[in-house]
Formats: sequence, structure tokens, C-alpha cells
Amino acid sequence: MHGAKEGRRLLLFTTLVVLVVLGVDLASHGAVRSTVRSFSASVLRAVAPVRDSILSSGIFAGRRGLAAQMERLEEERARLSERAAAYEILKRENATLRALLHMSEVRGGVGTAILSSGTSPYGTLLIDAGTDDGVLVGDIAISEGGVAIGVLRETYADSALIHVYTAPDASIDVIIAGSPTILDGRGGGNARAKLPRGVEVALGEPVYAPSARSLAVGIVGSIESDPSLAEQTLYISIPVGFDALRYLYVVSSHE
Amino acid sequence: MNSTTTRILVFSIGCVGAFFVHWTVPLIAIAILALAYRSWEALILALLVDLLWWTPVGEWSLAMLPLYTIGAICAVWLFEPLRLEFFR
Repeated sequence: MHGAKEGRRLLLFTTLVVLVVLGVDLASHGAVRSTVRSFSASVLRAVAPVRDSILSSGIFAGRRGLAAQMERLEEERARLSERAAAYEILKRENATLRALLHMSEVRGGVGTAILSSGTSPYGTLLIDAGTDDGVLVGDIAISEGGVAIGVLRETYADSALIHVYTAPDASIDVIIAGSPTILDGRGGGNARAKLPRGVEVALGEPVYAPSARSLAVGIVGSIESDPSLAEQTLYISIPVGFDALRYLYVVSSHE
Repeated sequence: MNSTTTRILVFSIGCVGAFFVHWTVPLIAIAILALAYRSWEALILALLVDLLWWTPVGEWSLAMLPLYTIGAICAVWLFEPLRLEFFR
């Protein structure tokens, strides 16, 4: 009985400590988060080469080796899929000059590695570039294929947190087949948008976001159209999985 | 394996998962800890996940709340009668 009372007291104390830490973090505009993320970025940066060398050393040969090979092939497939989508996006550009300008813009950004493994439950990614590298809150993260992935929400000296456009709580104004609409993130690299049924939309149609320097943020993966409804629902996905993404470009949000 | 060792092990797996693997790993660890023990470690683990990934910046949405911490606080306190019934 004494132990139970002690345990409950400890739990109550920890609950209060946790609430105080969160309160201090909010009051200090993220000072605690900043410290934890700087430490996390250092650890992830230090561990990345070790992890890669262990996985490529053949120590976990056999089943692990096959799994790694499958993962590599899956990444390759995703990369090729993204390239095909990027090609489609570029093909639809109405002038070669615009495409060239687009590429130079992309290459002009800061190249950075993704430190986190996939996206978090909050739809965030930790990257290895911060204010020391010239990145700012509001900058846009772009994949190698030129697809806008998300926007920088928080920056630290040597790392930054990206909030992806397909996060469950994210929404962004986009243009699909020349019609403006709102893209609602659904998580896992997927999003949804609605358009009047009269608007003709093809599968694979790129989705552009004016606020992301008019870059594509995804492609239309499937269309749900009910003759009894005035609107059609478009399911949009990014052409590369977050797990396969290793590097990103970060460019300014201003043209 | 006694309960202290199990708690430390699950907590450690949750921490490693939060940093290097996937967000579902700490989620499972928190659920196990909160369900089976009167575990303050579940709260620390949830706070760690939120401090790592949560961003209360931008337009208002549910994700602006520290969902892991709120969920863990609810779990450790709400599972109390369940724990007393089945695990003690």
C-alpha cells in the first residue's frame, strides 16, 4: 500500500514536471525544443555514417542483406518514379525558358541531408541545415526532382524543422488544371482536394502551389467523381516516399 | 525479468525508436508502459517525442497541441483502474 502511494506521488510529480517543461518551452518560444533538437541533430549526424557502414558491411548478411537490397531497389524505383513525374511536370511547362529558370532556382538553393527517419506524427522532418547555412523560417524545401515538399517552420543554428504540405493538419492554396482550390494534407505523403465536376482533370496532372514559388507539390493519383455531386474529389500524392528521400534543396520563398 | 528491468528496457527501446526508427515505436512503448505499470517513464518518453517533433507554429490545428504528452498523461491516469484490476 505504501509503495502504491509512493508510486502515485511520483507519477503526479512527473506529470507536473512535464507540464512545467512544456510551459517553459512555450513561454520561451521553443528554448527547450531548440536545445533538444540541437542535441538530436548532433546525435543523428554522428550516428549516420556508423549506421550506414554497419548496414553496408555485410555483418547482417542473409536476410538483412536481402532486406537492404530490397530497400535500395525500392528507393531506386521511387527515384525513377519521381523523375518520371518531374519529366511530366516539365513537359507541361508552356515555355522552355520557364523550365530553365525553374531548374536554376532549384539548383540555387541550399542542399541538405534529411536527419530524421521519415516524417514524424506531426508531419515534420529534421534537416541538416540551419541559420548558419542561410536558411530561414518560411523557406521552401524541394526534392531532387523539383517537387516542393514543405515549408521551414522552425530554424536553429545547424538544423531546421520542415512541416510537409501533406501533413494531416496542413492546407495550402493550389492550382490544378488551371483551377484554384485548397490542398488538404492527409498524412503519409497524401493529400486531398475538391474541384467542380466540370473541370477536366487527368490522372498524373501536376498540382502547383503559388505560395511555393509555383512549384509542383504533387500529382493527381486518383479521382472520385459522383454524378449526383457538384464536386469531384482528387487524391494527390507526392511522387517520392519520405522514407526514400535523403536530400533536399531549401530555397527562399520569395521569387 | 523483473518489472524494473522491463520498464527500463521498454523505455530505452522507445527512446531509440524516437530518435532513429519511427514514431510508432515510442507510441507502442508508451502504451505498454502506461497499461502495465504506474509508469512515470511514459510521460518522459512522450515529452521527449514532443520536444523532438512537435511544432506549435502556424495556423491553429489539432497538431498544434503536444498530442503525445497529452495522450500519455491521459493514459497513465485513466489506465489506473484497469491496471489495478488486471495487473496487480
